[in-house]
Amino acid sequence: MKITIIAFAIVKEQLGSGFSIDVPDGCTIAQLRSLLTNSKPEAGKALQSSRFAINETLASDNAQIVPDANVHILPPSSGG
Amino acid sequence: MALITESALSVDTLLREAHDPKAGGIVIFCGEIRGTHFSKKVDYLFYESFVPMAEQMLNNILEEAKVKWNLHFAGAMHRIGRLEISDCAVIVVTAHAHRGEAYEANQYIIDRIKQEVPIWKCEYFTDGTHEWGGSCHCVK
Repeated sequence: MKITIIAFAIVKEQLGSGFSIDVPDGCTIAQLRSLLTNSKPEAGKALQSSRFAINETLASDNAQIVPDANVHILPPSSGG
Repeated sequence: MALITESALSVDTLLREAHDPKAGGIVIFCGEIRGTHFSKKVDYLFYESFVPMAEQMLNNILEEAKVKWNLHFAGAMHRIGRLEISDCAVIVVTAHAHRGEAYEANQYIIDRIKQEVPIWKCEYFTDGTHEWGGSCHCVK
């Protein structure tokens, strides 16, 4: 299934943002994190500490991604 | 009131909303851009945010604080985009019958903004390098 990755801050710099990828049906956030780390090992550290959101709702590692989802990758916050 | 904006922040906007005959203590926190990061000189900062989620989370934090401390008002604004040294990046205003609760709630809100709300800063240094996040002494 196709999903869209939207990343921010350091993850955007390392991985890019606004691109579509194919992932297996039923892919979880943990599996997506591994797939992305394998494709861009230099982003692994930032991906490990990032939160993920599926269609604008925060998602845990075992959450399953739905087809055509927008998956947002949110590195640790640093506002203020 | 929770707002993420590219425009310059105004304390007056939040302060006007905070006035309440029952509020004897109004606390205003302004976070401004520091010109140094440890030994490095900062040129400017760039903030980005996932705005819809950030405003929603900011709203939730403010509502929680209002209930927890029985505040008459809680509001916060965060600026995004390019900010220069001494620009105001964030304002938090809390109003309570007494100052103790207003101070405590204000600190609670800014701490949670820094830890949870999807806003990121990138520091651009005068030596031409840049660095995302982690400018707070407490996390280094």
